[in-house]
Amino acid sequence: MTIITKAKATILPALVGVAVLAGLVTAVSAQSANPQETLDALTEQLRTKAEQAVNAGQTTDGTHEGEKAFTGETAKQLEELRRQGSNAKEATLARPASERGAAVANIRALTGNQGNPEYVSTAKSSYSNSVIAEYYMVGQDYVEVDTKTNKIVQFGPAPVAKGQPAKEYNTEARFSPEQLEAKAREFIAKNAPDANLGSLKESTGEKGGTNFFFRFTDESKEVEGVKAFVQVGFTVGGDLLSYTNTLGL
Amino acid sequence: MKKLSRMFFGLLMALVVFSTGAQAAHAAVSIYSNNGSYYTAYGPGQYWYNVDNEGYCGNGGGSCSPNNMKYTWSGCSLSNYAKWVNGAGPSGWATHDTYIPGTNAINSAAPYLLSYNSASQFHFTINQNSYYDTFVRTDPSDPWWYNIGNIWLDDNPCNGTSKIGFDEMKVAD
Repeated sequence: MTIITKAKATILPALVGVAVLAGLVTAVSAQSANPQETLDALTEQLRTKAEQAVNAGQTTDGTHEGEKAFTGETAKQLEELRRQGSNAKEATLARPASERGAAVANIRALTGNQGNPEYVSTAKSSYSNSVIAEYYMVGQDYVEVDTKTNKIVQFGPAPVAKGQPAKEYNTEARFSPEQLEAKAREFIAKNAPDANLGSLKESTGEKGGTNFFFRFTDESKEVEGVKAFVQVGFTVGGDLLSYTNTLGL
Repeated sequence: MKKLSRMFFGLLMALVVFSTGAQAAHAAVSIYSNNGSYYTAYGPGQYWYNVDNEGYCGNGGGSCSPNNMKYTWSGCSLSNYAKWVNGAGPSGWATHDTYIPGTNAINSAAPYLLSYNSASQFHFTINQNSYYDTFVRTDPSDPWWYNIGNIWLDDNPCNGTSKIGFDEMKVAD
């Protein structure tokens, strides 16, 4: 009897512990398996904490008309919550990592295997709210990819935090505008082979005397009110500045 | 006397949120122009320049108005700046894009400030010289913002003297 009682006394708490642990694991799994619930919880935290901070006077006026900013630790905590919320929002839209191979391959082809594409987020396309897009970083550049086709929608330098250095480009005059146009056509033929440049309206733009942009517009198609186009920009030193292709959206 | 303000694609479509079991949600896109009722310019008028037939509506292919863009010259102290108010767009989780005009926008570190969730702030810069009549996504690594409020663009990057271009802002959910 004594032995049995001891056994019960030892085993029961262990069973309870296992059950509690199992419950916790189940709860965490359920939470992580339902991105929308995670997002809702983070949204509520973000909203409540901001409201409390405003009521507690933890804000200061900025230099612009109408500008207010949270102060001290509150500002940092709210930004951290926002990043977690952004990740949770992304999770409601993202496809499995195993399906990103073709997108990465297209990025590698576009950059000539310069740098390693790193997946960073999922959102809607900058050009069409009905297109789910993935975002990748390659060095200081970001890439938007249409998840339905794995085609690149945009490549270019990512915005940076204020005070961080901008990407530098070679602007030594090595190519004439005509040579750059030939380079642009070659680039588009390689990276957007579906684009029939002969049927598109061509225009050329220039910035600062060093940056040239070659745009081919489909006058017959609009994407969210904007005529569809493919465009690539190079410096006179031959560096790729940016690339956009909305023809397939 | 302000011209037509914003384009509101009262959009769009019912999107199926696959991960949560076919829950429908309505997506919306608001595009705020550089001269509408959700836009205010500050600073001495003589330093604001207006260029017709350029920018999102003027040359970028947008079917909208006004068909102009604005610019000012960069310096080291804040003088001229503009504010776009997300007065009619999504108030939940949304992304933000800046339209970079093809002309008169060449500063390599144009300084923007996005406010969200009452008084949270995100300061960032865009190399306007690398883009030509295209949108640029704010913080592609973490692109979702809760309750976007105002967006400001300043004239004080302190990186020499060049043109900073002001045009459309897009908020979409």
